[in-house]
Amino acid sequence: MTKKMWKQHDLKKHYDIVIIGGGAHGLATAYYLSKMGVRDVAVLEAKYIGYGGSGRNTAILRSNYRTEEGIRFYDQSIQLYENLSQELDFNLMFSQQGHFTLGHTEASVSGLTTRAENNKALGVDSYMLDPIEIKKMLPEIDISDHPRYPVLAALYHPPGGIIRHDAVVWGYARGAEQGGVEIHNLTTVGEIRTEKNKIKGVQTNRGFVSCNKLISVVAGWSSDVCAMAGIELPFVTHPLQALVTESYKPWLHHVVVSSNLHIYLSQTDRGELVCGGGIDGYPHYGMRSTLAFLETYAAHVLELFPVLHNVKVQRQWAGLCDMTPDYSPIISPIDEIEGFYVNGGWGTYGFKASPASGYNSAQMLAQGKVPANIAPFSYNRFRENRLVGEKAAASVSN
Amino acid sequence: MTERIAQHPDLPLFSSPKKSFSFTFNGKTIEAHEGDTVASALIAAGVRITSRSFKYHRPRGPKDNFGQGPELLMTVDHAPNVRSDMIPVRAGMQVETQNAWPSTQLDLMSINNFAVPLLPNGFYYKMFHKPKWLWPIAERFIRKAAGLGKIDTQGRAVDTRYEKRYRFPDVCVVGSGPAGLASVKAALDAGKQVLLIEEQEQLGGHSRHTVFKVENCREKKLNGLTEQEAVRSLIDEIEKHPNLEILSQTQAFAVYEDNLVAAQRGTELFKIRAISVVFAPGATDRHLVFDNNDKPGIMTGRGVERLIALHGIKPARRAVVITTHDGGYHTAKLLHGAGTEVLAVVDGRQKPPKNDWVDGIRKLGIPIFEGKTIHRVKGLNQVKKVEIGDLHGQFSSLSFACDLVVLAVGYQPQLNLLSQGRTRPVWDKKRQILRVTDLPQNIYAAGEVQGSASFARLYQEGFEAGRAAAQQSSLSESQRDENELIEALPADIESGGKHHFICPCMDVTRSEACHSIEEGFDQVETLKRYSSMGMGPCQGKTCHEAVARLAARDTGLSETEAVPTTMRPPLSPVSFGILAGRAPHLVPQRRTAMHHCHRKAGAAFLNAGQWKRPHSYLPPQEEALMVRKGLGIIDVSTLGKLELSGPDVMDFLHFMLPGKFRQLAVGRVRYSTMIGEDGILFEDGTISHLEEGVYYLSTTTGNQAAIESLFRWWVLTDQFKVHIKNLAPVHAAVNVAGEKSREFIQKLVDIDMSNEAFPYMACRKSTIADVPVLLFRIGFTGELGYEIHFPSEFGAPLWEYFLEQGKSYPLKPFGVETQRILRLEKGHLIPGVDTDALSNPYEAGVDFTVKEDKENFVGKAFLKNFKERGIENKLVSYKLNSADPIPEDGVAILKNGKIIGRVTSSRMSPTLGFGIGLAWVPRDLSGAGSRFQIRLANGQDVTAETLDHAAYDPQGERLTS
Ligand SMILES: Cc1cc2nc3c(=O)[nH]c(=O)nc-3n(C[C@H](O)[C@H](O)[C@H](O)COP(=O)(O)OP(=O)(O)OC[C@H]3O[C@@H](n4cnc5c(N)ncnc54)[C@H](O)[C@@H]3O)c2cc1C
Repeated sequence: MTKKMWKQHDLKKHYDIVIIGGGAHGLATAYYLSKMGVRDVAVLEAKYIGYGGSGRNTAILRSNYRTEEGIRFYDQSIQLYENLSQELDFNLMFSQQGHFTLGHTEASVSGLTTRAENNKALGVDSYMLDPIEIKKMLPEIDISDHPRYPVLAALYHPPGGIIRHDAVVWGYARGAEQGGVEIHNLTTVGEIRTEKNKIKGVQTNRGFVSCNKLISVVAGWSSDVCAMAGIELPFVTHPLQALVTESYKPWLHHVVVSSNLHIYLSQTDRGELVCGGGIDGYPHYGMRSTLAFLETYAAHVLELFPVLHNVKVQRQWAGLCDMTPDYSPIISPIDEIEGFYVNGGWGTYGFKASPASGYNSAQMLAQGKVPANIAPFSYNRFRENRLVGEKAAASVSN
Repeated sequence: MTERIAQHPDLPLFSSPKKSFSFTFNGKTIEAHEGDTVASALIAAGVRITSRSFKYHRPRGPKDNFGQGPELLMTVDHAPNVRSDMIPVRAGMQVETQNAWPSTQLDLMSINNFAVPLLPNGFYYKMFHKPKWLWPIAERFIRKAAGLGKIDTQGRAVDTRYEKRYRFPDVCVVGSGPAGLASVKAALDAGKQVLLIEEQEQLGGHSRHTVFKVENCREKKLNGLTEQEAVRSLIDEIEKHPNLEILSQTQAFAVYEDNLVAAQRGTELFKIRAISVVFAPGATDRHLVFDNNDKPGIMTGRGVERLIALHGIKPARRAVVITTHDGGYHTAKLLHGAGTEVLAVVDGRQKPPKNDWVDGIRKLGIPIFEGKTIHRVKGLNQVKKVEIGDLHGQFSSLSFACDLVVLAVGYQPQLNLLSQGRTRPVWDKKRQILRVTDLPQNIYAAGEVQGSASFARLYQEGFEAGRAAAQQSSLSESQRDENELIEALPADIESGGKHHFICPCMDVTRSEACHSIEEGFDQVETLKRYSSMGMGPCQGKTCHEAVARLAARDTGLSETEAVPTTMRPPLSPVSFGILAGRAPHLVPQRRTAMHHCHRKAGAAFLNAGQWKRPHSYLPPQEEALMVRKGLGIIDVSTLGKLELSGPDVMDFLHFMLPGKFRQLAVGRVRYSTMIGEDGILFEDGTISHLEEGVYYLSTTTGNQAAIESLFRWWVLTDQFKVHIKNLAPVHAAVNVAGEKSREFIQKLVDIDMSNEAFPYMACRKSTIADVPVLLFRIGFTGELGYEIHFPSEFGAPLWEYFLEQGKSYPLKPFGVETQRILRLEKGHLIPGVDTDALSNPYEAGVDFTVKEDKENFVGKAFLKNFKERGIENKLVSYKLNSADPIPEDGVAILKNGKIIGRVTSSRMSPTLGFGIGLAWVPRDLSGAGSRFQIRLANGQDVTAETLDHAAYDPQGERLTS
């Protein structure tokens, strides 16, 4: 008899905590809450779990960020990921195959060097490689001076890699359900009700649900949902596109990101190359694909790997990214409304953060205190103009 | 062994090809005929197993021969994953099968066929992760087994030339079946420029192999002809039309925003912008699920017809035709005519109609079984036997020994292009197909994509669509008569057995899908992701309908609620080469007017944005000393140069830049930074008042395009009356630096160069060798120096002239790297190198460029905030001890193991004999004489000392002297 991973529940009138958004972050939050013994929790998802960025991302994980705040937070996330398959008893296929960030200009090599050094100082394994060393690990890469922007150096990060993103979503969902949390698909929050600056509950297509605490975990839809509570945060939603090639015998065994060419690629255990680039340059909620994306991606990837000229794109798609001015998230209670919390600003890089984001959000909700690792990500930093320095490293930040 | 036929009684247009030639298949020589695809030649040669399946390594063979499925993916001349049924075979081609070891005939990996079904559903999520060490090992094996073709890592064909092409027709028609041809005709009749795109080499679509008689067609002259003849006649009529362009062997693979159609042909990408687009992409035979529905020897009706009519192949010895409509009888007739013994026609209809086709088959003595369908096939590597019975798979009543089973059980429209992430197809209960009814503006659909129909109907619908497309008017709702409808069989004939493949690409069976639903994946999108149905090479083109119908059925939804998963571009895979075109080599490489002089002088070059600039001519350290002690010249033509004028120019400068410029007299120059709306420093340059109301702004090399567009954007949005003239492309520029530069230039010009007449930060106009020049007394090197701008057509001659005239000093060229050393000695920052997205001008030490008391300007609010906060970190010049190694740019500054700052630029100073640089340090280390630790990349620490000013000439005496 096959075991159900989750059930369909009737929507109750009240929950202690309501989580809006059934992506990896919302589900991870639910899972860690249940582990902390908080079970009166509902996850409300408008479509199906993993409909948003969590089902559309290219699943690159790494922790070699630039700032101390970033490195500590993402390192916590990778460490949680490293044991997550065992913890959830679900194979998430975390392939720690190593992660390259290539530099093609002196300014970017200098930026990569800073990252290498900052990571070393915090005990995260990340170091610079010269073109000869790069070529040893990526034999098909063109390190000659023939390309328009030759490879000058790379930042290498052995613990980085890729994961089966859907499995993370399902694994957390199953774990949360086993822990007593309810997951409600096809349940859209259309309104947030407050009373005297205190959260009351949410109006959904299935009726009103009251709650003591409410957290918005909706990534690309964050501005919309926050607006329901009358809160304006500096999220700007941009589309991000990706593509996947046909399946080929595995040939590329590391994640390769080029900061100057704005592209990246990796090869899955099924043999497809999973590829992406920078965000579309305009704010938009449409998840449309463009030909321009395919064309620029192709032109750039062939600069790095000319042998891919007859490798074929099989599918392209897009998702939404909630960009913040400093390429860092907001995980924070909202002072204006008691009981309202926001988790967003995951931009193009949030999938790798799911465990740490969920873990710390759960602590924040359960204990009413902001854990140290996420303190730098309060929304007040924008009022104080005290931004986190990740923007300095960002060009393609996967 | 398959045979070729010389003639066919039912196909008047058939002629057997004359020429034959050979190619190799897995090393064996094989005979092909002219007009063959790779696949048809292999089928003619009797090859029945053409690949192994993805997961279970089950044998797979040709099915539809139309580029749909994964069965015919092969490596052709080292190119992996080629759809062998879509490319013409050529003499000498090397064709190889993929993903089987040691061969497709005997594949040892087919052990998976027995092993994998024993594993739990979704086993890959449930195994290999405990204990933790197991996964990396398991993964290595999984990766070894994964993947289809091998990428040619030797890059044997990397020199292939790819091209991009552009078309702008009035009407673009996709598909050249009866509907497509009729659309073309209607649009041509309306006087439009028409582009017709057809994936096959020959026009005509399915009618090329169809000999139904045309009746009641609005185009009277076609009535009475066979479809084959009718399309021939249509093609003859329009082919030569001057307003028509035909792109055959071209596949439209996507439709993007604003109806941009993308198509591929060979090594070319077509980008098509039409006013209207008519999609008439037709339909393919419906995918039916039953036990062992993936065995080689099961083909579709149209797949078989193509082999017979287009390639002259007798596809089998004995065949059974499974059908639900007259098309199956048509296929049976063609098979019979090709010499195949048709053992039976098995018709799902309880009462097949009385017509020439059904009667014709009866007359040939071929038994017809009514109200029956296929239950299973048997045979190890290919079809040996087929069992038939009732429509629900309950009672198997008969079996036949045969080597071919033909499935002609209705058609599924080619919906991908119409849907492509915009519109989700819905189940049309009456037509029993998925349809896209809601189309974007100026997109029309006609023909079998709306459901199969008579030739006359397809023609009519196509004609109306073509006419509507020409007029951009709306199209009346598509209609079908009762007798045109084909009832769908149950999507899965539930006859027992384990091998009911819903998705042949990814090897997903019905029972796996059911288990996935039981586990909770009860929405079609999550079901797809968990089971991986529809995620293989055909991207659901084969199985989307079966997936939709079975998912609805197994989750308790009604038939009308069946929805397929999202269809996305591209329709068929497109190579990176085609998408890139020649782009990798087309990103412009910009060279200055003096480039060849530098080449001749033996310069090494570096990339600066799109530009190639001399890195240095001699070792940079040597060059630097030469400038300090003698006289140097550097090519600075790559600087951005904008001339700004117009009534609002001063307001505009005050708005865009942080400084004040009203006092800037004609003939004076000022250094300025540029600040973003976020208060962050991102650029610097000089602003010169050339003549009354005309300002000349120089910006850095890398930012020039961005700055120009930023300026233009603000001019437009805030309606400044300002003229922006980009002079960067037409002005070359040099900087002459060194103590003797004044003396040297004085010899060349007739203006007074004295310190009094032409002070530091001034600009003048003059001529040199009769060439008009702009002279700026500025410089980046810390020496007395002049920047000279002049028309770039004189770039090389003036460069040579300067060197010639300066011979006695001597005047020597120096490169960018040398300039970097010199500017670092002088403590000048470079935005983007020494600053980043968090650097404000106060902390960067250029606050003298900011006048906060101005009314309103870009970045003001944030600057105010930064100013109030005060300095927390600062960009400082530092020096090292002479014996210390030079840190790498970018390394960290540590204190008690904690990162407190970063080195941005660092060089050996040849002038001073010790290492110098710029670094971000906390405020308490920013005072002169403070010491801090720099951690080199190799882990060694060196001690640096903060300097008050520049390391070289701190008071700037040399500049102003
Ligand atoms: C193409 C692409 C590639 C990416 N690649 C990477 C990568 O390689 N590495 C990486 O780390 N990150 C990557 N990302 C970013 C990453 O996908 C996201 O940051 C992350 O998935 C966000 O997860 P989430 O759970 O916060 O939000 P989501 O997964 O987006 O989930 C939000 C959910 O909220 C639901 N929702 C929205 N509004 C409502 C409402 N009113 N009521 C109820 N439910 C609602 C949505 O339906 C959605 O399911 C990529 C993103 C994209 C688009």
